[in-house]
Amino acid sequence: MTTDEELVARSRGGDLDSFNQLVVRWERPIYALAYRVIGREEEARDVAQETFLRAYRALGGFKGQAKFSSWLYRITLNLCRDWIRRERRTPVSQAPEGIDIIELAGETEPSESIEDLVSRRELGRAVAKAMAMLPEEQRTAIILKEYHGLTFQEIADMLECPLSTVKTRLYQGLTVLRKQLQERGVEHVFGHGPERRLRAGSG
Amino acid sequence: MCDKDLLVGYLYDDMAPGERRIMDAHLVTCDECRTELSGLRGTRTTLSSWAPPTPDLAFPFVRPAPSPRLRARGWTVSPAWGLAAAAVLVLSVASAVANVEIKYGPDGFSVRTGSARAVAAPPSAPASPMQTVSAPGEPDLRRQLADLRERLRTLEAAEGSHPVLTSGHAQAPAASDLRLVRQMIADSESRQEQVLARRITQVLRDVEGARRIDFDRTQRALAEVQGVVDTTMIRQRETENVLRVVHQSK
Repeated sequence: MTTDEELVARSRGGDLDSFNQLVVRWERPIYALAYRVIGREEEARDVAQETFLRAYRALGGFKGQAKFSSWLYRITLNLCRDWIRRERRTPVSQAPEGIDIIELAGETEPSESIEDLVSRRELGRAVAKAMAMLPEEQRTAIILKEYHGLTFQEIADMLECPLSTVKTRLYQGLTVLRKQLQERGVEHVFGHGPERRLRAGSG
Repeated sequence: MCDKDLLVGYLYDDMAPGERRIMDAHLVTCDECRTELSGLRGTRTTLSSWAPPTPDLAFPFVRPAPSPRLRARGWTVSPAWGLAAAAVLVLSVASAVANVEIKYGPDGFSVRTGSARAVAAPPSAPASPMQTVSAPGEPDLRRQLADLRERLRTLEAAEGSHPVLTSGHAQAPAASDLRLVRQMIADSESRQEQVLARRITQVLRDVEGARRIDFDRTQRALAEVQGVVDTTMIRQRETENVLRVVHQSK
């Protein structure tokens, strides 16, 4: 497979098809990053599209000192930060409030009960809400580490802060998340079978 | 006081081999850190349940134009389009429904459009109490109107009721009668068009609704699968890191 660096070099030479390959390769992670940071589907889509537009315009200035993906992430995070400041509001979860049991029945895997599926959905909603409550820098650090698998050093470079700051943000954010999820009734049962459940009657 | 930076590094397997050895030794003796590590691992497991939506992104700015077939696949039916389509369809149907049916019987006199049947009117009034005739052209219509008037008058006379139709038009249907009939036909057609338009719009809404529900289901299922795949990939990467560290330490 052609590497990002090769595609970037060709794109800088005017090869639109190469840049298109980069877009196809990275559009979903970039969208996922924007969605998790700002919490809104349509706005995340706009941010993702704007990321690639800006990247295309700025390709001449990209010297390859960082990975292309890190460069894209940085553009995305800057756009997300601008959006949050512009909107002056914290990210919100767009997860649907109601759950249609009949509808869920059609989505259940053979090995999974409706109860498990509901639990999985509820967990996703609980996580989204808890994440939205975190300070932006903790949320961003967790998203980059947990969902994008970046190293502490890559995150530190991207956020332009010391390595220890990244670890502290992660630790503090995870600790708050753990507490909030426990307050929302999420408990963990390790071992076989479903690992996570919501306690009955808890919100 | 335990080192939380080391703990979080251990949690993510993102630390130097020397740090790992220190942490391994520490965990043997520190219940607090073991408990916290277990709790944070549980939190990480819970975090994996948060999957983003998977919309069709397809950013268009450098993407080659899709083929007409692909473009048609992404085509959606909007309510405005539905109304326009309904209007076109109604016009087509209305033009096809050119026949006019005049019924006259115990329930009274009625004019309505019917299915396209070009049946010539009978030359004379039959004796049955219920009569259905067709009026494809103006001469036939005039003749049938005159015939109907005559029959009405006969009935009125037989029952001693007051005339329904005023005199002065007995000999031949006047232009006003034709206008009246045309108006009745137009009204009837208009009503049918409205009913048809409503039904077509409803059908289009139903189809669109069903399509959206199916699409949402598919999107959600894909998002959940994507979440699982992402988590698996991250875990795999972490395993590779561990193996690399172990290899380097040897």
